[in-house]
Amino acid sequence: MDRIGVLLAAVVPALTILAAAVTKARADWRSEALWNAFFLGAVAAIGVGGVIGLAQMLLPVQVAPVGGAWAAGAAKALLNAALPEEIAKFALLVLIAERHVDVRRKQDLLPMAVAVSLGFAALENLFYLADVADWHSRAVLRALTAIPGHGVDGVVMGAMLTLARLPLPRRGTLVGTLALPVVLHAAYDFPLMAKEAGAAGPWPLGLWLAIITASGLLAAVLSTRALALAEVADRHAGTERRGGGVALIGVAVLGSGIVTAVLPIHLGELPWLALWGMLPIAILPLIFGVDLLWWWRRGRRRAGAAA
Amino acid sequence: MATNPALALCDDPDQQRVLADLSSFFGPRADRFLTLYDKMRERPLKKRLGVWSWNWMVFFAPFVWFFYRKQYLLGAAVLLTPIVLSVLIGGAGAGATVAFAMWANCWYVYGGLKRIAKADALGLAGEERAAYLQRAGGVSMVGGGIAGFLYLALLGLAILGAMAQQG
Repeated sequence: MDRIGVLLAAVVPALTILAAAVTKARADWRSEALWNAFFLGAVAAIGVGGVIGLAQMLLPVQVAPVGGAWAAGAAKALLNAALPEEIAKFALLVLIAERHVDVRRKQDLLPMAVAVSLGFAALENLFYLADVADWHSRAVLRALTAIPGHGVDGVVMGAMLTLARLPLPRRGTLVGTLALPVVLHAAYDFPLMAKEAGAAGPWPLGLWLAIITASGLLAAVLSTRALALAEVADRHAGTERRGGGVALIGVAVLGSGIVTAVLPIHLGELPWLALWGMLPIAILPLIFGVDLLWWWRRGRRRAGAAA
Repeated sequence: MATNPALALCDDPDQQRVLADLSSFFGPRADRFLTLYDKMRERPLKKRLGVWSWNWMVFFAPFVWFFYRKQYLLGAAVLLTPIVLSVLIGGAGAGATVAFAMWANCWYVYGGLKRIAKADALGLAGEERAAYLQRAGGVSMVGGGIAGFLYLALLGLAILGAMAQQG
């Protein structure tokens, strides 16, 4: 039963966040392309682990950190995490997942990218949880931090890819589709890795809070813009889909953020987070809950205007 | 009991259409899979997915073949299942690779039949239908290449890991 609990704790948070993206984009849970993307993301996690493991065995070079804890944190965040992970996700998204025959709408691109990202996150989560005796607290922490972090990267990648594929006068590029998630991913990991490397004081947590907030807001704004433009393109192409449940999911996500913000939770090895309350961790569900409710209200206003 | 629309194609009176659609889907080396489809047709409905035929490529490099044939879900399942089981319960069983090699071709033919059933549900016909099936099926050098690269990386990691343990 414990092993089943580990599996569920690894996968359910990722699927919950994917539900928000699927609902907002009015995608179809039954789509083979969506599940394709999710499991390709998990394959990407294996790929990154395998390639990095092989590289470390072939080139066992230890680089001494130069420039102190902050520089070490930045280098590790970019080179060990952000670059390999986002490149792997981007490659599988653009070279395989996007080309699936069931991807017919421009609005499908965003949930596909989120699915790749969260498939990656789910398998990574499994490896993190399966190795520890007290996996419960780690599962809660990762469900509120690492998984949503990957979700944000996926939302941004999906939004940028959508903008790159739309026939716009000043459209995005594939370089931006990769570069922006790399920057956000590295920025997200940077304060945490700097703290691991010895950065002292409240600055790492404060910086992390600022980065989470900025990333979440950027993802919400970009995804709304991309989906609004994609909606128009799909309407012209005759591939628009009707969907519901945005308000319900929005309330659920916002509610989870509020509960997380006000309930102090014992975090085991990270008591300094408990001292700040759960605000840093609640930011993303708060942002995306509001974003979903705004999107729902926008849809109702447009439906009312059309009627 | 609801009929599986994909397997029901085996009993479709217009088998020329089904065979043409399957050929469009399979792409290269279609004959091999069409022969397997004939064997499936000879079986009763409930036993059609039990037809086995050996696939050496799947035996030596399980998920690579599925990625080459654009069956990414199956390929991911073949790659991930042993790893996930190994992480959760410490072992996956060597028999899994043999089972994949025995039933890969049958699963692939079934995948083709499902795609034809979907084309029927979408009301596709003529060139649009053929294009849809070719795009859904066939082979992907990119998919096969990525999977091949991943396979070699994992193989290299396993070999170096074993050497490091012995050394």
